[in-house]
Amino acid sequence: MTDVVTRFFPNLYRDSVALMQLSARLARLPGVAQASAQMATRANLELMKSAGVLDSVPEPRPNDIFLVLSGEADAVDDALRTAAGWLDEKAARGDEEAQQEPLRSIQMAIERAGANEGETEGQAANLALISTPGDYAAAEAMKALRLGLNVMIFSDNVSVEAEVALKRYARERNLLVMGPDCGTSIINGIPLAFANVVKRGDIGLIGASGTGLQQVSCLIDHYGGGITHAIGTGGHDLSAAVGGLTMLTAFEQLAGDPATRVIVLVSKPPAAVVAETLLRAAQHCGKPVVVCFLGASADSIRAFALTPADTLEDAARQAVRLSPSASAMAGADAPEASDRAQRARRLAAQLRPEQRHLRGLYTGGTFCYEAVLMLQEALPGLRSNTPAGSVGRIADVWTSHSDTLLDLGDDEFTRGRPHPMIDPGLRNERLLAEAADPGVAIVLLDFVLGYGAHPDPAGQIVPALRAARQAASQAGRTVLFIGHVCGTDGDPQGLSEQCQTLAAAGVELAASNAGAVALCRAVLEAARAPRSGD
Amino acid sequence: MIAARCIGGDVRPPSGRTLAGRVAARYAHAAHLGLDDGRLLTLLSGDAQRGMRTVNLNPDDWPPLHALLVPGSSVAVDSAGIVLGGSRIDLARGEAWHSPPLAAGRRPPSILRARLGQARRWLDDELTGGRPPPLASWHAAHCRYRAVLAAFEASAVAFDAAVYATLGLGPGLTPSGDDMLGGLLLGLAGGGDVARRQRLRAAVLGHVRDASLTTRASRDGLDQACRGWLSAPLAAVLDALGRPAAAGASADPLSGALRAQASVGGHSGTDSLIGLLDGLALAVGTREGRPPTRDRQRNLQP
Repeated sequence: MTDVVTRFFPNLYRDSVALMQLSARLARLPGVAQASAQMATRANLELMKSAGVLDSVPEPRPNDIFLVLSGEADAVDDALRTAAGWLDEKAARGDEEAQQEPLRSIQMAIERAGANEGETEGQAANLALISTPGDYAAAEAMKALRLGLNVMIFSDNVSVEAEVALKRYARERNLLVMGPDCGTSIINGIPLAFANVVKRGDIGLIGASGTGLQQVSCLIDHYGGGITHAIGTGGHDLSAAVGGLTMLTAFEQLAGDPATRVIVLVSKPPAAVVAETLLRAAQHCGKPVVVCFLGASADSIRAFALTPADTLEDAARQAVRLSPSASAMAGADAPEASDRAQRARRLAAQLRPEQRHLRGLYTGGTFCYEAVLMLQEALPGLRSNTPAGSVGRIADVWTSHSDTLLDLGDDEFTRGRPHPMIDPGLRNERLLAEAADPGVAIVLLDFVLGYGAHPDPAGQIVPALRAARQAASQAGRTVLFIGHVCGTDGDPQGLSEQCQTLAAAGVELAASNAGAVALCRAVLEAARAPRSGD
Repeated sequence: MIAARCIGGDVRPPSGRTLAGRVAARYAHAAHLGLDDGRLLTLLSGDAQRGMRTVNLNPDDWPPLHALLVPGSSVAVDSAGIVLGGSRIDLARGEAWHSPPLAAGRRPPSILRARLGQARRWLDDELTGGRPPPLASWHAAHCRYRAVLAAFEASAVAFDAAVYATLGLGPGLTPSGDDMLGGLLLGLAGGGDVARRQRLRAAVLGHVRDASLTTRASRDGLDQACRGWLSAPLAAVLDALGRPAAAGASADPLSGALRAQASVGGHSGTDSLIGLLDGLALAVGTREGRPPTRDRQRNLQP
């Protein structure tokens, strides 16, 4: 049976020789009876009809190539793919015609995006994501700003002076500079860099912490809420030197965004002068604002009539509770807290008396910081490479002592190697070492899903968990592994699948980092409590 | 900043005016810039082909410029330069190129008749030589073009219909039918055949505004032909046709000029040449444009 297939290739120009070559090449393919490639002018189309190649004349598109193929169905399909590939190949080689050139500048990218979208109002590109070595990032960011684009700077190693200059320039023009060192944003539902697939809704997030934004956005999703935007500011934005310029601009933009009905601020505590400026702006924005400045006093936030949150999980709960459209499920995870004591006693019963210590191996820096704050009173000897509150800095990050929490994404661990969210190999090695310590009761872990992260964080750690368990078992001990998974079922890795894998490997899971830390604390308290018979 | 080597006479807008536009198409050694006033500028690497809307550039400047010529990207043109992708082509100092006048008085008919014979023989050889066989649509375009030649003696309606049927027909970015008609317009003008030229010009202008009829590049080319603007290769052919063969010269300039014109595009060069020679022949009354010989027809079968 003979099939006739036609195809327009829009805005593609070929001279006559190239079209002849294409036609001849296609006509030589087995099973192809006829092949004709022409510019789709009226006269050419009518000629094809009068020659019996076409049954009817399609609407002329003189600046497009029109391809007609006839022959056996499978052969025609193959020929069509061959034609598309040939045209693409020519374009990729750049050897003749209108083509897609590799982007070499922001200007090119804007124009390509505009051309692809038809450059109608509202469709043109308005954001540039910059990921270049730090020495070049500031210059590229300024080019983008001058072109009227918002900027997300994934790069680090940008000087404070450059950051301030960029952010001042942007603020005068109501543009955002997310970063430097900004790893997470969700803009108009589109995850940028390390971000998760969360539902759209009416809660807007602004954060100086990447994993903080990921945790809050995922938990909001889990509690039935949704996100308008999650705007990362970069870790230095709330310093006195930078003055929170991006957070202020982002805050004003969310305050003016009719789709955003609740705003959440997530950060370590800002410099005092910056905090006051931000809180004052929040106080008068006319929308509910949840403030999660990890480690800041709740009273300092309530003083501005804002809603304080002491953990990332609490921030998500409060936001969903305040959201007019999503508050119904805000208390969904309440049973976890009520069951915690019983669960802790069960786990603590598996430990030997000498097992009293906690080792936290984090891939997310903010999770580590949050854990430090939550455990500082319970574990007076706690040390970390993200010191906070009363917790001091660990002397040597390569050697743990008693209770230790480590951010394995810190510069000391990532110099010359990928971030542990991408390549968890370093953590696996460290996990075996910590579990071999006879004083260790719990290894605390986080698993971050979403774009940019390892494709299977749970699966990759299972062999290390198994080996650590086996070694401990041979030594007559049981080491507890407690953790949480930051992600959603919409993420490429799938939250449910990851949780199942970890649970099958014996990891005790909580719904949030705060929940996992609280469970650790409860287990250690139970283990340290005098037991009957002691 | 890239300095233009040669600038066509219809490239610059009037002083003080800036025109916006976009890169319409890019090729290995050329690009089209579509301006908002409807004109299509051509950027060319090298200066062998000059035209009224052409900017010729030093080949060394072409590779970096080529990267910026992304189809769809914005351009701005003023009397001093062309701005695209953060780069600028300086139009202030390049050599200007203007189409030479087409007035027939410069070309004595007796010389023209003799030289036309030579040119037709050269073109016959060229068309039957090592060129790849054209598509069927080229043959169709040529047949309809020949119908246009015949229709000069027919009614206005028949003539108009013949022109309409030819426009946009044939292979390539500038379809063969258009190239032949464009060449014919220039040949009639160059030969001083005012009546036929006006008739053809009116018919072409009456249809070419229809954007569905042919490609943008071709519409612009026909517009230039209607204005009587020659490209440099066609001007060289016309000039050589008006001069007797130099006695004792080692190489006839006509051969070189014909070769240069034939090398333009895939078929455009020869198609335009067919029209130019036919127009001149009609104008000086040597014979009407003739169909390809039987041998040529056989050789041109796809």
